[in-house]
Amino acid sequence: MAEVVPSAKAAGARSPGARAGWPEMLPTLAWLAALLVLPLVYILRMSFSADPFALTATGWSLANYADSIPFYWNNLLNSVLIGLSATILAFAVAMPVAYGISFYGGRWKAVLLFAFFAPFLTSYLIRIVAWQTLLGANGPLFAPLTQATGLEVRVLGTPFAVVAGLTYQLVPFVLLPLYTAFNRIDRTLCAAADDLYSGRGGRRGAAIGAAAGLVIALLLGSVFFGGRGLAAPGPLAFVLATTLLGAAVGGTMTERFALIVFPLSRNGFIAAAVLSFIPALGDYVNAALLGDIRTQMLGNVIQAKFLVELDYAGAAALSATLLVAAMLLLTLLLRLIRGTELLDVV
Amino acid sequence: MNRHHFTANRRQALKLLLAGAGVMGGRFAMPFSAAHAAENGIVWAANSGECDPADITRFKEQTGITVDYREVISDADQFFASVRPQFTAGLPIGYDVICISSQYTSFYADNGWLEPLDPAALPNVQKNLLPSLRSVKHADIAIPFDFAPVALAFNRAHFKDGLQSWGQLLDPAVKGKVGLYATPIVNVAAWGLYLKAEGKIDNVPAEMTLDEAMEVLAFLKPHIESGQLLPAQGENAGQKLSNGDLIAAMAPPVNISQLDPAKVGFTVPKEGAPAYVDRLGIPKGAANPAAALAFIDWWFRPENAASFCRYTLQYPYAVGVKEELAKIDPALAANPLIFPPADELDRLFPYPAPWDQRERAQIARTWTQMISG
Repeated sequence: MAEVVPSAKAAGARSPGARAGWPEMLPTLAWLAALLVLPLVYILRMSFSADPFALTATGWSLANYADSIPFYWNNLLNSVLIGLSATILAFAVAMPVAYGISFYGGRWKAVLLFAFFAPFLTSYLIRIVAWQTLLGANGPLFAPLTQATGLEVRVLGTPFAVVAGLTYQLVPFVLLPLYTAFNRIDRTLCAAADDLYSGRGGRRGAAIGAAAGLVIALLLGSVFFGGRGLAAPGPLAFVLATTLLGAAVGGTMTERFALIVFPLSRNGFIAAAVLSFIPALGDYVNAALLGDIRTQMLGNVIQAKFLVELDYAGAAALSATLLVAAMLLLTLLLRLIRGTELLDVV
Repeated sequence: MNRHHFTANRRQALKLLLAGAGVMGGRFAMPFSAAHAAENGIVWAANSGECDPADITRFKEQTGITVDYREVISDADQFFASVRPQFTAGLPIGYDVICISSQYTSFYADNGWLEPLDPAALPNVQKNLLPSLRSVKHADIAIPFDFAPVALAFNRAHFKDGLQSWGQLLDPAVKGKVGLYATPIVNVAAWGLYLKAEGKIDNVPAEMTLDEAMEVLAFLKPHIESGQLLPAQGENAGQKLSNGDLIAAMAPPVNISQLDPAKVGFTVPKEGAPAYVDRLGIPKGAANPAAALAFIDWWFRPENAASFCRYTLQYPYAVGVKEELAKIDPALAANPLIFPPADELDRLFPYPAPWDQRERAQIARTWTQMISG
């Protein structure tokens, strides 16, 4: 007769190898201590330095925070809103691609994946400069339009250009976790869903899609046109179109995706969101090369403080602020979606 | 038996940590090893587009010294910030020769970050350095090299009669298509000349007071906020001019040297323009200072100086350039970008004023706030 092990004991029992695993953990802990904890402690200490220009912290002062945050509140807001917009758009681009390659790529999966990633083998900076050319007034996109219509199109130096460039940079960070998550889904479950006459989202799906589309439209609209600019006819049309698009996607989404694929790949979505939003929040190169003064993110200010003003303490104070903002947003995200198995996918 | 203990206070520990981080950062971002350079030649930290790479090859053929030519300085502020921790910690920065921006020459020289130069090892410098540059401050330790104005590059299709004044950039018709310079002090110097001509400030850039600098920034603020003038990030005005996203931009000639002069013009406005005299220096701890001296001196042979000016469209820093260029192409010897008319030279003003670090920081901070929206 099989022995029944009490579940409480099983849960509380320490595996025999747990203690023996510490030596193996040492390299990881040393790495984290040297490259994460120490720099963080250094930045935090520096942010309270009484002499902003000294290379090492001296004395204690809160002035670096008091002198920085009130001036650069808009830049922090830009970081969050532009980062969030780019993350959402990166999902919009990468999700269908990851789904298509994973479910329908067949023996071409590796080739398709490589083809998608190939442009990202070039330098980050070169890719942004390429966007400068692409979105330039004399670039391949807008020069023909200007020649044909006589209208001058200016996209470079707008929030749209920054979000577009950043979205492009983030796509791989979304694509890979989603692809991995989709690949792990047992295909027999999808076949079972098909056998059970999995249908479309219908009215309920359309309503949910419209609500999501409206929220995204308001976010993107406020970034592209500014909060007050949303009332103009063009931005209103954009909000309406995005809401309708959301409704269309929600209404036509298969139950197979909504009830099987999405729940089973939830942690992949969380990983993709984290991996894309964090770099987006701290980015400054896209805003510097594709934007104007309205789109400057907190990263731009940190860069200027560190490299132009030589105000190391001010730069450290803003870096600490950005870090806290990122951690708060991540905690909120993880709480909301209860992502407990994030590391399984990452 | 006495036991010896290492003792270090927190500040020393932090310095050590910072120096270590600086070295690691420097090793990844810059030349991997100064020792490597010592065996085979020198490593040169140069500005973007500093010289014709063919000249580097010629130097090796003539001297047998290899030059690891690295265009790592796209922004003088950033380069300064990147090497400062190593200099401060007394560590070599991994380069044997560096280009030094005029605005930072005093920092390098006064902090003892440069190797003293033996005049006997620089015979061509002694013989050929332009007389007007011999008296510039710190010329004994940081040799004058790049010499040019930061004036106005413009699209000839839009400005058919050329650009005569900084004030033309404030015309609403060109709103959003005029680029400022990346370095705040250069913007202050240039627009200070405009305000001086308007009678609103008294001093030229080299003597400008902090109050005057703040007045210049206050003047620029509404024009930046309204989008009339666009702050630059990096010195990529050339690309934006050719893209059509800018029709005028503050730039040195080297930034537009690769563009078609029939399409993009360059002018020093009637109010004048700031001029820089960047330097060549040997940083403390350079692995191969003898070869570095030979390299610096080589650039002062007239034929090499001529090649430099031909490529970068900067003013000659050495005598004999005109004659050498005439041998290659008479048109080059008459190029006004290299040999400007005398009245244009009279409208060039060196910068910056001798502000201390906190005054410069105040200007930089105000600038950051202005361009951060």
